[in-house]
Amino acid sequence: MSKIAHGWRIARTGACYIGFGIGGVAVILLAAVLRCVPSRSKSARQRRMRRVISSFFSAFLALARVLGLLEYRFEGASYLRRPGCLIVANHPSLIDVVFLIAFLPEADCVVKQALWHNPFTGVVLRQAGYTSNADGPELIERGRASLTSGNSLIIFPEGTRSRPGQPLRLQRGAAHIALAAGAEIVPVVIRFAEPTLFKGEPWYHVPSGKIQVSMRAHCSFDAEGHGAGLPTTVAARRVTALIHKYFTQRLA
Amino acid sequence: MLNKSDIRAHLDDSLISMFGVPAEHIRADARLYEDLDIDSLDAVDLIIHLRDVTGVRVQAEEFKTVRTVSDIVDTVYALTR
Repeated sequence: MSKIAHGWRIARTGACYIGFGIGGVAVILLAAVLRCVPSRSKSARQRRMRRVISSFFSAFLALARVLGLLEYRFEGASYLRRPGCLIVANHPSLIDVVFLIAFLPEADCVVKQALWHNPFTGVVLRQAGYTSNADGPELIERGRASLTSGNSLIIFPEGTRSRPGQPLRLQRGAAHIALAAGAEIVPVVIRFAEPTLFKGEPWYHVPSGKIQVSMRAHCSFDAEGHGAGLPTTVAARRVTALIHKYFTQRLA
Repeated sequence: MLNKSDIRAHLDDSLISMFGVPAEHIRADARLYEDLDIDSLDAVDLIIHLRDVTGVRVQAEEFKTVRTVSDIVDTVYALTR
């Protein structure tokens, strides 16, 4: 029985991956086509692409839910809907960004340089006007510009996925961006009931039960207030320490 | 003309006042990122600050090969020659 159940789970998980693959290819093709379709402005073009990506991610989550593979809830979504906020999240799994972008159709997002330069994902990400994490000072300037123009910006301050069981290590770029923009920081705590699609785990490792995810936003930090009167170097350390404490307490 | 110990003194002051590095952690062979928690963004601020206090213009490119406290001292010292 359990063998049959396990086989059935693998089949459904496979269907989910195939769905993601087909959808992903469709989005890449659509991006290539949309690049040639005129748009009112650059920002209208970006919003269009962002909505496409967000719809794709929402559809993927719906598929995983319908197939009984995934269950999730999001508390405090209203915190995320205020424009011009820096949304910082911990990064336990490969699909964290899928949730956040599905919930925030027009948000900007800091993405890994490798994906930015990849010929396939690059077409999509560049057209969406997302922000590459290429170079420190440039990332901060781009992030600042994005926030002050009213975007919400998603960033994973760990810079890469967490390693389960190891202490959280944050880079200070997120704090620098918030300080430069005078933006509020909204932390989102993402928790998986069991580690899933984490760093170092092969993607084909099928979880033994339904993936249960809870995401929670319940406050915002005023970065500027915490860094007032301090040199940026010290302010960024202080703000990063606050974010670190917030996540460490809630993930314990 | 600055000698190495002058440069080191300026550097120690900067590390303590700008980044809150504990004085006892600063040794010649201390690694900037791993031991002192100085990241690439801090390096930019450090370069500007060292230029202000020593008058030596270190290029960001030259700084990329710098790993330890003594590397910085050597780089700045070489530029004063």
